[in-house]
Amino acid sequence: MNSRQQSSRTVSDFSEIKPNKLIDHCRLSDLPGSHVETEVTMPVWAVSESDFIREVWSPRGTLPSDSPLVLLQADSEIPNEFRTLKLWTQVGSISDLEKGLVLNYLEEKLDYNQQEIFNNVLEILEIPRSEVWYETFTFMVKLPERLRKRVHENGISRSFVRYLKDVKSPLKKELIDHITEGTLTVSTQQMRQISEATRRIDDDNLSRCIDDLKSIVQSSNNARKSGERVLNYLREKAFPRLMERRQNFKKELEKLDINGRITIDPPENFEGDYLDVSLRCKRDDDLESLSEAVRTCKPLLKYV
Amino acid sequence: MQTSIEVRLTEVKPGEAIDNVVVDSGAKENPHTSGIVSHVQDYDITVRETKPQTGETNSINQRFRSEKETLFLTTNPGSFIKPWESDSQLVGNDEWCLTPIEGCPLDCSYCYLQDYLDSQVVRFFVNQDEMIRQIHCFLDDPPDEPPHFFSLGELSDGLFLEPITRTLENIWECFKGREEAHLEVRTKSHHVHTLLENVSPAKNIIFTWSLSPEEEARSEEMLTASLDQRLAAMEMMNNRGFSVAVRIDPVVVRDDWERKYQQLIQTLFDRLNPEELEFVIIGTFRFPGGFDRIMEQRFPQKSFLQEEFLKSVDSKMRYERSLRTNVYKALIEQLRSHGVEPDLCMEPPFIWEDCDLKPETFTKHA
Repeated sequence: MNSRQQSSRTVSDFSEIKPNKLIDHCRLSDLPGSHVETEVTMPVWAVSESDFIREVWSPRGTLPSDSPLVLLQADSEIPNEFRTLKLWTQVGSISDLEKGLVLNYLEEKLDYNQQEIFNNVLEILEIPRSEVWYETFTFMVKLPERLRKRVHENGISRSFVRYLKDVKSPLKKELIDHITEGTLTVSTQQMRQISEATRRIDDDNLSRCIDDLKSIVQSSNNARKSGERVLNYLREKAFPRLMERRQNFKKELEKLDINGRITIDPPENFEGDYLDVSLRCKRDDDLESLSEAVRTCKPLLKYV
Repeated sequence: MQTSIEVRLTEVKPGEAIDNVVVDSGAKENPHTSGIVSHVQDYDITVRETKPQTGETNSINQRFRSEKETLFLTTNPGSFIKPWESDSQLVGNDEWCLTPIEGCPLDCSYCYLQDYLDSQVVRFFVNQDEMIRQIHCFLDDPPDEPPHFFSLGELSDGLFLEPITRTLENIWECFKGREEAHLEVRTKSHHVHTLLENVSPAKNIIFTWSLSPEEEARSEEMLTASLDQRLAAMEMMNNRGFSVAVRIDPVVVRDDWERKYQQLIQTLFDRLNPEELEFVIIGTFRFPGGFDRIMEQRFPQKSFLQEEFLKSVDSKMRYERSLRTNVYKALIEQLRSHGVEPDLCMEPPFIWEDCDLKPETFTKHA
């Protein structure tokens, strides 16, 4: 019997088992057939909580190293000696999300520290030993289930979701709701900017921002345009001084009679004492009129 | 008055920050190691032989704390003098950093070392004779034209561990009488008593205290001396003829900042004659991109990152231009009322001009 066959047979056995008195609130069950089949000498316990994540736990040290399942699940009330760290390695296919679940479970439920996980687990899961990779696999697990599901189903990219990591923020929760419902669409780049702006909004302004965000989304049927409007709104809230300076600069620029022949840009964030001016001309006599027009740009210098 | 200062200086307790001292195998035979181990006994600190382990605790704060509590005596196989070049877009001067210690036992929430150093373990290099040799070699055959500006206190507090390490006493002799070289010792500590006992003032060695309003010092500068203790130490050094200076850096902008910094400046000049100060430098809070993630991770309850920080000319994040100009103007006005003309710390020329300061008047410090 190869490992993949073992996997499917073991999983199918889970449905046949009966509630166990000790931990029946977890809907865990006995595996009378499975443990014989896999040469496990003690019962194996299992639970599956969603349609895309398999979660399994067993008494410590009872799972053979070449068994097909990899995920562990145990309630914190379950006595420590019943928990297992023995990961089943021949898993057929295990998704990145499932790997993350294992790591998160070990850390948060079984109190293993990162170093122990680095030394004992990452290699088994074929994850490079670095904090960056570790975080890459674990942050997904901390997302709300709906969002995890979107990632799992390839609805949105992992790099995009990274910016929604801090889901404690009620503003981000609101954003996640709109994104998962499809009423708000933003690019990864816009998501990065939204995330940056969200971090700067203090608690006093949060509830007002959430209300405003709702009304922006409700007022448009175009999810992408709503995304742009939300980004602009949050930037104004997070960077009020910069936005005001930009608007004033823009107003002053619009007053000038330069007819699109001169482009004038302030330095990034107005951190500098110069303006970038570029001219567009075709003929010799354009230059003369352009130099006149450039002189009219003098009022803009007060912004730098 | 003198008595009360003396009393406050008896509160010197490096043992509050350092919990244990670990001796590297390569450092055991060094004569400076036994000297440090004997000083350590005075402060109830344990000496161990195990190499400090890092990264084995779950929380980032546990890891930082356990690393910062360890003084690791080891040797430095490389250079003790490292060049620090001022960014060409900022007003400032190039310096040479003296690094007898890497890692700071103090724990300021805004400190860039949290990101800059791979490990927070406080490493003291016991091959001090080599450091002294390198300083002499530098001064005898300098790589550039004098004056040479040295700083001590970039990678650790310049004074906090002095009662244990006595490193400044060694460095002192190198600089004494070498007028072409200036040394600035930067600190938030008040551990001056061993120095006062063992060295005499040198004009080219300046002690600079970083000062913050008392509320900020209490909430953001863990394990540092209180404002009162810092001022007492300054006062005492000044009274004994040592050169002293002040950095009000970083200025943190949040509730009631103007009142707090006005009060700080007033308290400073209630205790010290402005004319006695070599210089006063002011700088607003700034940080390299990405550093705020560490701060948020370590201190999620801190609110001062919610201000409007934007990328500046050297890619560091700074308060928005008009905000920090207003802050500087308020502090400059207050300092000028005491007859002090301050310099700005690590700011581009246009900010100096926004504040009606002339970059060309920048004092060469250290």
